[in-house]
Amino acid sequence: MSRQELLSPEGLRVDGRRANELRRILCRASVLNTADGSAYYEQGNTKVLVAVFGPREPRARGQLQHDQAIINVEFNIAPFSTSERRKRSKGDKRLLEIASFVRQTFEGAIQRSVYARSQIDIYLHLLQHDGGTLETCINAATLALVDAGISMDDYVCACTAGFIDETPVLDLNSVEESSIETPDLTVAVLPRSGNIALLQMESKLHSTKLDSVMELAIEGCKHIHKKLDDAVLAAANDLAEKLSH
Amino acid sequence: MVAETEPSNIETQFLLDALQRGHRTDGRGIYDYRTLKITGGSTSGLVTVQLGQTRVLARVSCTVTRPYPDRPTEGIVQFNAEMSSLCAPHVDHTMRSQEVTVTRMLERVLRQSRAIDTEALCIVAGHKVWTLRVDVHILDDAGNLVDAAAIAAICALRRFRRPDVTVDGETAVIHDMRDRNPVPLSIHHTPVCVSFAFFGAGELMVIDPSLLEEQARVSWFTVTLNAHKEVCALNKAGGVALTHEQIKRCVQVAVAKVEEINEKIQEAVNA
Repeated sequence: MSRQELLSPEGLRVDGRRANELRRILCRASVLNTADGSAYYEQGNTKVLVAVFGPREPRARGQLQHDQAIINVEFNIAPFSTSERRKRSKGDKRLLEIASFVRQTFEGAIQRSVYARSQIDIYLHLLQHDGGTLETCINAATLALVDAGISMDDYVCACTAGFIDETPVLDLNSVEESSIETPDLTVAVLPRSGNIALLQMESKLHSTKLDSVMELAIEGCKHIHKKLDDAVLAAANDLAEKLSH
Repeated sequence: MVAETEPSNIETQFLLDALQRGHRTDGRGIYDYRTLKITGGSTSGLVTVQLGQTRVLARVSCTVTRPYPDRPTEGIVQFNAEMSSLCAPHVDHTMRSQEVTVTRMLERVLRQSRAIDTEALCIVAGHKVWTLRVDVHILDDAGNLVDAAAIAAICALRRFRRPDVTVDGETAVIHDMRDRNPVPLSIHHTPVCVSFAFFGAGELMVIDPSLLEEQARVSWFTVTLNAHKEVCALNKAGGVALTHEQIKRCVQVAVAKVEEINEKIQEAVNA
């Protein structure tokens, strides 16, 4: 099996980026009419659409919490999102796991005590899969939650990083992710404090190299924070214009 | 179904006050693990791990099946964690979320880190491969199930012996255990999980949390390392956000702890 060269000797990756470059990010808030908040987020070829509903009455009255809101996350991967059409069952462990990570991340960021006795639903749909599923979901969900006007302590910005040929590499696409030798680290950061809300890594990476990869990912999160902030401002300016007429 | 009894405010306050003075309620130091005891069972793939009062049992078994169509030369490894009402009064068959957490953790630690050589499980490419089933039963939940389950699973896998196979072209002969000595599995490395819990605003940390510490924690983090100081998995999801320094410190502490745990595992595996 020929090993595809993920990092050329000139320092270029399979899609022409350098090791520390993020993919192109396009994001827009308020893309759906019926949802309280929504966002469309593209990072390279990975595309996610998020709808946020809430705060609203919890569907299961028995799960109501008197002092804080329940966060419910559902994650769906469209069958057409990968190059081979593949329909995943609702109970797929990988889907449940990603939904659970997103939920736990936002349980820490959303000011749940402001919305006691209610439920906030986050519905994520992955429309095209090209690596960085968890990071794009978290970034898109942040944008949608801000669009819905839900109180949060801070933005939650996520980024992936890996290690190819002794070089820390930022924002892996699916070719790089699926390579066996590339460790894949996802970090979600609260930009104001710089604290880490989520840290996930699978596959081996020597402990001495961990620091450099984590620092690169956290740097990436700062850039993503800027993009999300710009998108929020753009949506707000849009709304202000419409209201002023 | 009985509701889980949460610790009283006095208990959690006592725990926090003690931690602020550097003491833990069970007398351990901040960086101390509970006593770890690993015992083998009647068959090669059966291991019981006791971490303090937490007891976990792991059982490895194998059958011959067809491989997945997109991976014809690789064997299959399946993980399954089960909790029954034995382990805690509030658990019953409908509480799946913690089982799923432990199962997914085992999958990530053992399968995604490529600890088990699945190509060595192939008998006849495209037709017959070994399917390993790792069943982890949680007998007693006294905190830190993930670490105990991971140790149990990797010990069971390393102690397990599968029947020997001779392949002649397209036909394979599986020898009975009595005819030929069973063969060990091909395990590349031994990943060990180390879990931490954080309290207060995230500045107080303990390793190997007990049940009370787990109920009172505000944040948690698991590092998985092997004997070569390679990080196999990192898992921090939920709870209060942690600083980069804390994560670095946890990884350093984990590197030291994994050496100790590995010694115990080596003893148990070679026994």
